[in-house]
Amino acid sequence: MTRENELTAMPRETEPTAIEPEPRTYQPPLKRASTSWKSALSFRTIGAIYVWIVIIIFFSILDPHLFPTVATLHQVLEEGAISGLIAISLVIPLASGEFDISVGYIAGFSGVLAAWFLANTGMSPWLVIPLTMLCTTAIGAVNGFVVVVLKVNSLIGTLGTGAIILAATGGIANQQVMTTRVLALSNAVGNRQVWGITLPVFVMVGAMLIVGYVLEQTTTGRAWYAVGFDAAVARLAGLRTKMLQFSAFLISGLISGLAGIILAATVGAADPTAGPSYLLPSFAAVFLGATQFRHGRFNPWGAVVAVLMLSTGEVGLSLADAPEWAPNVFLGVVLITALAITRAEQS
Amino acid sequence: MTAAAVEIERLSKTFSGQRALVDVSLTISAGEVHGLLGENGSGKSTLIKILSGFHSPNSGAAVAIYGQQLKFGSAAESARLGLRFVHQNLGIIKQMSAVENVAMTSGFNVRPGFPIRLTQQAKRVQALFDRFGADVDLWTPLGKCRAIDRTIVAIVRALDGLEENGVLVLDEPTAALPPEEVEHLFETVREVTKRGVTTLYVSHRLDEVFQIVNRVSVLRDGVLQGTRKIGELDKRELVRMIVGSLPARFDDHAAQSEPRDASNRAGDGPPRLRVQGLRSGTVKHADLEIASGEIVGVAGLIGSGRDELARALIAAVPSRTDGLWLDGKPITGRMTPRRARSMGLGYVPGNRGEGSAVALFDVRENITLTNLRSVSDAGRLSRAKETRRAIDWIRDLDIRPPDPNRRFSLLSGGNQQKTVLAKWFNIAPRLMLVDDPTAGVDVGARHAIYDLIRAKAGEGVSFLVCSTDNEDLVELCPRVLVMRDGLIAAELRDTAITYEKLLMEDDQ
Repeated sequence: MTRENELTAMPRETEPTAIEPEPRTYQPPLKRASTSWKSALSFRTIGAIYVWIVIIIFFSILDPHLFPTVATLHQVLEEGAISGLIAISLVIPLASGEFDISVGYIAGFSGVLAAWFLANTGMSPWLVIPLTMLCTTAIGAVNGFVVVVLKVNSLIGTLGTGAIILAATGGIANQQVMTTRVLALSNAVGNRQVWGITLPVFVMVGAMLIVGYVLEQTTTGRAWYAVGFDAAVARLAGLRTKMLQFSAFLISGLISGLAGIILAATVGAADPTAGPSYLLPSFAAVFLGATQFRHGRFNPWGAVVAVLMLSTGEVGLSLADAPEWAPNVFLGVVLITALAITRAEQS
Repeated sequence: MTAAAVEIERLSKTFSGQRALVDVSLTISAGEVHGLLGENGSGKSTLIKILSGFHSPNSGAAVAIYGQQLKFGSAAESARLGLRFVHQNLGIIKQMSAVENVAMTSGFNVRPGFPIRLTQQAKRVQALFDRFGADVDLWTPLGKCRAIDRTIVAIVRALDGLEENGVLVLDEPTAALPPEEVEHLFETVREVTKRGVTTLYVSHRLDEVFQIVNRVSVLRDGVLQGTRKIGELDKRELVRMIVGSLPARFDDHAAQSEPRDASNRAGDGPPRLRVQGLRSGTVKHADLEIASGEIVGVAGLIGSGRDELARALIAAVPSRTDGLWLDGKPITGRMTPRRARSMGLGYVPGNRGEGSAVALFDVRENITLTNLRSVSDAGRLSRAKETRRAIDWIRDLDIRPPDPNRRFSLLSGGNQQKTVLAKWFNIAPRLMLVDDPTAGVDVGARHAIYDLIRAKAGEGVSFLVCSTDNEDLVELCPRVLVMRDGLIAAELRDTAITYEKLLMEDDQ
């Protein structure tokens, strides 16, 4: 780069012709195909997949008869479906720069509410499902109100709404596991299978595809990322930052509500204490997922891979008759290792 | 100036094949203020980072500090020999007082199990301030002090624990200072020099260099272009050393006397923008009129309203007006940044600071952010359209490297600023509001930005340039408004716009 060229190439006010914009012809930027392939397969980009493969090989060697089977695959997918959905519900709020701690509580509430509708009204499951999701979306609106309008820090605000949701869940369920007519729900969604894979897995994949499409292929998605990375820039660029963040909470309410219904349907009962335990692993998966594929952007692909990787480990451990504390150790170790390696790779 | 404070011999540094420094040998005499100049990428930062122990040079290099050989690659070793660094961001915690900020690096005065002994701590800090002639309140949180006070605390803190012969390295110390406080910085540097400290002064602003340094060394593309006494140089020559050739229009005096391009001032038709009674936090009352294609400058000290005028106009800060007309049409109702954009007003914040661009987005995403609709079909982004659009602007503005997928934060200052301009040019703006367009960019980029603004003005885009850098106003603006105490206190035109006049207006 020579300075002379740069300076002489600049338009001069004394030369009116230089001010005329030159005719624009499109030339694609230089593509370095080989390096982009390398980068797409690098540990930095898809480290979790390599870790996943290592986990699969490890358990296959440890337990060659039980682990590498189709049954295991189904189990991994089914266990991952609920965490996966909750993780996906977190992607858009996090992308737009806000925490939603309440999604675990919403999932718990949702299952109980659906069970309550089934037990106390004659509604068919196909009416109960959208009605319940409408209610959880309304909870999302409350979250949005607290964070966007009342301007409460989202971590604290949704912790607060979460506590209230938990109380409401207990109240509706009368602190008991609800089973009346939940089987109808199970027959509707929980137990349906296509090619031997249960419907919840397809629901999770569908949610992943939709959220991924919206985030990466639409103007709204781009705007969410912009708000999340730098709200001041987004506002000055003329984006509706408040509307974007508010709507992010609606979506997390909607998807976590769906997750709660599916949880109840899969188990065949609505446990008022079931939801919150999904929160932390899902959060962990989303953050781990953000380091995958998109170099620091929260994305559903990474979240789902992280969830499946973690659930592979859990299934493997249970098949290997590991003690009860082992899955938690596994979760902690894998998370820290994966994030630390990614960080080291990036720096 | 007999002894050498710093003797650098045959210093080279190669980063993965790229030569950042090539065989640099240079001597900084004891007790002098030595300027280090060069454009972004010239090797200045690399040289400083080698001195600070962050990088190690290629073998064969030698650096002596007051005659003692520097062992490379160790910050502790650099500090032991008396090298002290104040970086651009100062490393000051604004919520804390001077005492606490100094204690952060020098250690708190404690006995185990007892509270911090603040009185003694304060005495120590006061003694340090006295030693270097600093005068900053000990207890006020530094965020509430002037910017210069933070700089002074950072400098004095860096000099803490210095036995005798020290070398202070100031990296762009005025980048965050309003112009009226720069003189205080010079006083501090002179005080510190009197007390036996040698200073290496790194800056982009040539005027400052002439005021403060004794000798200056210039780097270009990693090669030392020479070390000269400042008295032997004029600004023209210095610029020639920095950029290698003289930018076409670089000549203050000619710029001041030459009649400005009359075509910049369209006479016919209603003004592009007319505002009456604009008010915000610091703007008390401002009436403005800007013609289409006109470049209007705004001068003024911090707090004069100059720094908030642009943001008040687009309602990025709470503001009101008595009346607003755009191309003769009255605009009623509440203004918001979103509305400002839809009316064709673009706002470029100063010094690529808050609100200018998304650091983690790439160039393409930043450029299209203001106008996502134009690169999408029914809400679906078209990657091809986006890339094409970005490449068009990258070409037009000569953004380097010409890679639409380059992360914004990896660009140099000048190219970042061009990207921010491109992002607003992308809405086909009617009026651009620009704060400090050339803060923190190198000389070459500065002139490129001037040319861009002039070219766009030639196409009919109006500009309001609010700047702390008088060079922006003198070089660029045929009309300059001077703000004082929230009011527009004076209006200068054409040949009346000189450095001297602007300084005098500010000082009133």
